[in-house]
Amino acid sequence: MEHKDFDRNELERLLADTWEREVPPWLLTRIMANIDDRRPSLYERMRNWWVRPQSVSFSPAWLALTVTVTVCAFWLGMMNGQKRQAEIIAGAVPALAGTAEANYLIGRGLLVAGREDQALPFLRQAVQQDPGTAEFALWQGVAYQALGESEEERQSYLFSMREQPDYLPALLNLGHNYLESGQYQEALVQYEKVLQVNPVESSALYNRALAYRMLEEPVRAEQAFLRYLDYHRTGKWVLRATRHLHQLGNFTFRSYPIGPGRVVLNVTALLSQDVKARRQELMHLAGALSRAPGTELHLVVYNQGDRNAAKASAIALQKQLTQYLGNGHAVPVRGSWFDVAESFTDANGQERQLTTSLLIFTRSYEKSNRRKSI
Amino acid sequence: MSLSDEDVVDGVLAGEKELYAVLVQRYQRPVYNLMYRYSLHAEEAADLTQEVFLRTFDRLRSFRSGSSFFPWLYALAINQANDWSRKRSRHKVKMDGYGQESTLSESPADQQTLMEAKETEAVVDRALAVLPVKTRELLIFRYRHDRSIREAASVFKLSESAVKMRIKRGLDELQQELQKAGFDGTQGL
Repeated sequence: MEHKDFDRNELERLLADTWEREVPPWLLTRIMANIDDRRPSLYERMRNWWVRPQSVSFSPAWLALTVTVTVCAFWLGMMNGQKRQAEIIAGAVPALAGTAEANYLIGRGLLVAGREDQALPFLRQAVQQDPGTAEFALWQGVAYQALGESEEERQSYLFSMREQPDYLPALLNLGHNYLESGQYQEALVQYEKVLQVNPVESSALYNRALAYRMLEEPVRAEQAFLRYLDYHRTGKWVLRATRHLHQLGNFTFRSYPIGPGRVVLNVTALLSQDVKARRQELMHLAGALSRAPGTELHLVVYNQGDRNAAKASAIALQKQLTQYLGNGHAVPVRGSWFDVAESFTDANGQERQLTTSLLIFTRSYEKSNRRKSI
Repeated sequence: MSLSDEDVVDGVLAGEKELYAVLVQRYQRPVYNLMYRYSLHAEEAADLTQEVFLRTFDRLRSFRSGSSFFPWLYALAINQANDWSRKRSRHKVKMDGYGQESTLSESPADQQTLMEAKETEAVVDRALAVLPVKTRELLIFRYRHDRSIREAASVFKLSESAVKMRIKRGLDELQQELQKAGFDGTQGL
């Protein structure tokens, strides 16, 4: 692979010229429609009245009036601060539009503003006007979900899929709906359908595993969490999946502190003889290390009763990782090995012992090289 | 001669609400792209962009005449994006047992668009995505939007020296990521 060095100017030019996404053509219209619907709130109207130029002449009656108005304005401002959203709704809800598209866009806009109850009639109208557009029924379902109306939400997704049976967002949301209402088998069916369309869909993979746990099928749950972690390694759900696996007694994956963050790695793959399997895990580790400058990495291999095997694994890992980090890399890699079992605290805080395992951690480079003098 | 941002703001505050469309037209693209980088979802990015412009409209009176409009708008947009990230992670915590990660996936059309982007730009985008969010946004604000160190300091609430240091560090990290990627169009990160 050919490597290319960049000078600072070239980097700056690349950053200046990078590609940007096109804005949806309807966005400006939608924003301005919402602006037109807005009227000044009571607070703003009172403030405008208050800040306008006024001639004041002192008299006891005027002073009393001023104080009264000030107190009232303050009180109304406070009240209005809490009820501002309701004020806007009362004064600014547009009438149903003539086309399905317009009703849909208004409904989406109201959903964004947190006005789900106002959004629903528009989205319902959009579905009635154009039942053939799966997206409209989907968002009707999202509005029902926000309002806590689970059955109507489900019917909306099912309606959406009548026209488009493999419509991924509706399949996925229907799965979530079943899962939240405790219908785990039905949720599994939906997630399987999602995974047929997109085999790496993150929430379908994760929630499928959860559904198996709720159904108390530990073997399937374990396999499903492993599958999820095969494809996904970033985000807090990865740590949660690791915790679930540890609760199920599976320590294939472990979470390691690297610099300020954590990285989840497949220990079985790292300790295997398969260079290709190790490569994928070491690339994850190398990525995490690039965000932890000024540290040194320690790889500690445990193999109870077989010191030579532990040593061979540690050296192989050290060599392969150093190769991926490249010449002149900023993070020194140290390897060590022991012929005893590793005692460690798992992702759920429980003490464990593993006969063959790997411990990975980083230390501040300066700290580890500090000389102590008496 | 086109109206300056300040003229437009004065006009909107004087009651010509429709003038606000000029500001939306001028700045919707950088705001939309910022929101897309946070949400990685076209519809979500559009919704967030709308929310930013509505909030900005509501707060227009607090815009200080004499300062630049874009950095002020961008600071509000960054706050909105961070709020969204926090709320999203809170929502996830709330959903703990059921782990509902997202309700909608990116549309195939967006993926297609991304695939069609020039190879170099795609590599730079991937390298940027690996950087810490604040560093990434700082680099984009400074270079893609061609803004000064002083403006970056005010948007990201950092001292000017801290901005310079972060930018230097960010460029170093970006360079490393690009070198790791080979930048020959055959391998991603």
